[in-house]
Amino acid sequence: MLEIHNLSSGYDNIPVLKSLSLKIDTGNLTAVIGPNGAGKSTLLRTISGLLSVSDGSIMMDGIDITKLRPDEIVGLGIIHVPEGRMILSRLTVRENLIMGSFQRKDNFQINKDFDKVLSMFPILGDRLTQLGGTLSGGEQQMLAIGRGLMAKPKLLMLDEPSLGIAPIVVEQIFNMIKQIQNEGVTILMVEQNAAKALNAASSAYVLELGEIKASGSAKSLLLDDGIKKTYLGL
Amino acid sequence: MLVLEYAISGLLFGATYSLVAIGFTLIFGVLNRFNIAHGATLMVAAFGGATISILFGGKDSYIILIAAFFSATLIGAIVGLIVRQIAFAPLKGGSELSPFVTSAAMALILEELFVNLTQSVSIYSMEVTEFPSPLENLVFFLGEIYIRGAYLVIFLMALIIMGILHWWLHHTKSGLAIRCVEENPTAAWLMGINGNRVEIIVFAVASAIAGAAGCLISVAYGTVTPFLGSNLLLVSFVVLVLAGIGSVRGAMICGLLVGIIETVTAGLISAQTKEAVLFIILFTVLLVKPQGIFATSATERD
Ligand SMILES: Nc1ncnc2c1ncn2[C@@H]1O[C@H](COP(=O)(O)OP(=O)(O)OP(=O)(O)O)[C@@H](O)[C@H]1O
Ligand SMILES: [Mg+2]
Repeated sequence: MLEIHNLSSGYDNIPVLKSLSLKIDTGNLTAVIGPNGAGKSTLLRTISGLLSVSDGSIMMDGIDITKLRPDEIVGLGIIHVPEGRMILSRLTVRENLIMGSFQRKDNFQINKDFDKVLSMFPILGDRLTQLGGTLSGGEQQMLAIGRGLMAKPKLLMLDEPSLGIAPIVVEQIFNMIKQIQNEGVTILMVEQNAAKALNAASSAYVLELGEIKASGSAKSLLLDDGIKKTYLGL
Repeated sequence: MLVLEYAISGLLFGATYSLVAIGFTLIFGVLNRFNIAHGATLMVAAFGGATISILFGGKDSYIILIAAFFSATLIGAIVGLIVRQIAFAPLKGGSELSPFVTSAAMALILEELFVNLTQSVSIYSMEVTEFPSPLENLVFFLGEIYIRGAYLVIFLMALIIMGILHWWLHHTKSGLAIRCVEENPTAAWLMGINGNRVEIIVFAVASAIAGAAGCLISVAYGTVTPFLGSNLLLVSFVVLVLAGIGSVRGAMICGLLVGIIETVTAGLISAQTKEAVLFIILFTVLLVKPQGIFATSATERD
């Protein structure tokens, strides 16, 4: 689905990603793990067009998206649920969800997806008229994922969905992510919680200092001694 | 009774202040930059409306008045887009201060241009150019209270414009997109909203509203001058600071408030003291609630 080839990118004059290559297969849940500052969020920001590419290429289903604007990339079905969630605090929960479907015109299907998101996250249904900024952290994460789903993603990119959330809610959110994958959405997930991510994923990449340090099936990485020691604390 | 009469006039006329301030605050909300040429845009549009009224005998014709109003609105939008193209677009990503300077420069250029035009074009006059309208001699009485027809009309028009704007910002996807960009441009891009296009739409809409306001104000005055805009810009600064910068609803209400304060002071004391009183109130509010009356907190803004 997504193929990244020798990608370099970063901020103004600070290069972060260094000639990084990565491949995501359709229907898979791919995890990217790595320490703070490795460039995980930078990778997602580059794919979604927020940061410009200084070298290399990104292809989505054979289409070169390297130079596209973020709204054009959304139009191709690549949806980025950002770190920190970025819920619009002055919009209601309903408005946040509806705006997730900003580019779509298929109103009938939008309404169905709206109902589906509410059945996945029933708590959002109780909060529809509440302002986004008044939700708890866990609820905001659910809203962020729900908003992403409203865009009808082909590839859903999640940046640290477990960050700052109580373990029981994390469990719930990971179950939902699995369910989303089962319904045919390809997922790219960035996580610091390596154990959880590797258990959910089918394949994974380890990112350190802007470079891929290891990659393979999630199972093989779970068994890797180096990764066990550094990331799983075993 | 006289106080009530002043207060009603002020309330009615204040609606135009609301319009000017709303446009100013919309642009600030989306770009995080002040458009100092907002007043000059309004002035150019008002001259456009006046020109149509003068050329086509707008003194007795409501049709011409309506045509003048819509032309002024359109001219406002066009001038606003030109201002954006020249004073804002090339400075994207630069310091917040640079468009302040470039838009102020555009305001000066437009003012100077119209000072020259009023001297050289015969339908305009050097001091004040007339804006003829059939509303000039229209008056109503509400019991003992005397109300100018022009004020009533501008109030109703302003309410309609604000109503439409409010509906657009809260109940349509394109309007909600404006509020998304206003709060978090990055989140908006990730939701598939083209931030550049939103900027253009906001400039056009805010400036069109300024154009409409310029026409309504100069119809109420019966005249227009090249300095109409700079005076109004000052008033809308006051409105914005009172309201809390970025609050559309606050700008609506504080515009009315400022109108009342101005007219009552001008009527009871003198026209010269109205600005002094306004600024005294401004300072008092800033001392008590520096973030403005309506900016209660980030989440409650609007
Ligand atoms: N806006 C920015 N401007 C400049 N440098 C930045 C910016 N954002 C991130 N960086 C730098 O880029 C590098 C990678 O940051 P990034 O946010 O991608 O890390 P991360 O892997 O997501 O870390 P974390 O797990 O803490 O979220 C860091 O060194 C960071 O300081
Ligand atoms: Mg990160």
